[in-house]
Amino acid sequence: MNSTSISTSNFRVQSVIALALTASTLSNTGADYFSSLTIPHYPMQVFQATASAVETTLAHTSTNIGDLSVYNSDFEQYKLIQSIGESLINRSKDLDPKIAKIIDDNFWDLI
Amino acid sequence: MKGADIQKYLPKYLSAESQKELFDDVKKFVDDDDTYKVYTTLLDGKSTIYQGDGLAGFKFYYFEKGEVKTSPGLVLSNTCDISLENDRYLPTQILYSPIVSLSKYIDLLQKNGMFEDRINSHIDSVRRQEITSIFYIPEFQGRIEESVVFLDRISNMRNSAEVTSELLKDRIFTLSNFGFYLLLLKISIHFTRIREGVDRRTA
Repeated sequence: MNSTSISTSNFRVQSVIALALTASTLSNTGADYFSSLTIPHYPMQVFQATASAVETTLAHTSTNIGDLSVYNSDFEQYKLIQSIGESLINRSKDLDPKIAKIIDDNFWDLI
Repeated sequence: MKGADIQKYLPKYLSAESQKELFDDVKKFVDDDDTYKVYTTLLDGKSTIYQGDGLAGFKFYYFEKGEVKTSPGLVLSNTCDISLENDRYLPTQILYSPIVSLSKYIDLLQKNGMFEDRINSHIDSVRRQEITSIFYIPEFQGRIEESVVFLDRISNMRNSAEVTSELLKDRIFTLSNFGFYLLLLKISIHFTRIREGVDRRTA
């Protein structure tokens, strides 16, 4: 039987977030969608870029986003979602074995 | 990343107001401010069972003793998967885990000789959602006291119009946008640690 303790090294935050966020729409997506489960590193430099560089970035978007404030707002939200995943993973710990045994021995009485 | 790519990971189906509420609660959680809201009353009375719903009428079986209990449980199945509006060749079962009152849980630990400081430390961890196999649910006044859900004690039952109708007669709560995200992340962490550290070479 495999026994692996919780650690941040065996977990991909991005994958979890992607799964969680798309859970309600996964049934409507094509197979190619899954290729985006691994989110590439976001270049922070985009926010330090000159106006022309930002325009270049926006010109490559495939949607009608033409407003930098929308872009920044989305990025902020994206980072926030990522932060809750990281926060949960960083906090993660296994159940104390003594407590786990108490639960197991008495579970039927708990419910 | 392109703007359109980022949008794939954002809840664009929500109104601006709902998004703001969701992200405010995310910030609170990350900042250890426990005033975030995990319940909504907006969906009260709806005829759908939602993922994360707390329902009072679930059946739990203890096969070794041949006993059955009816007790509150939390729906783990995806909302669409158990929607009766979706026709399926193979009918789906509803997956759920028992909801246990936190006070009862603490009593059990005390009666089994756990020291008070160790219990307090453990309960702090539970409330901060640190334990991967336990989903903590705060008090919802008038509906449910502080409780815990054991994600490794999953049961399943038949999903039919009769069952759904019966279960919905006693819905305790529905999770808010934030509560739902929190549950999905907890489930994801509990079940899908992809790099488990085990070499699974075929030969």
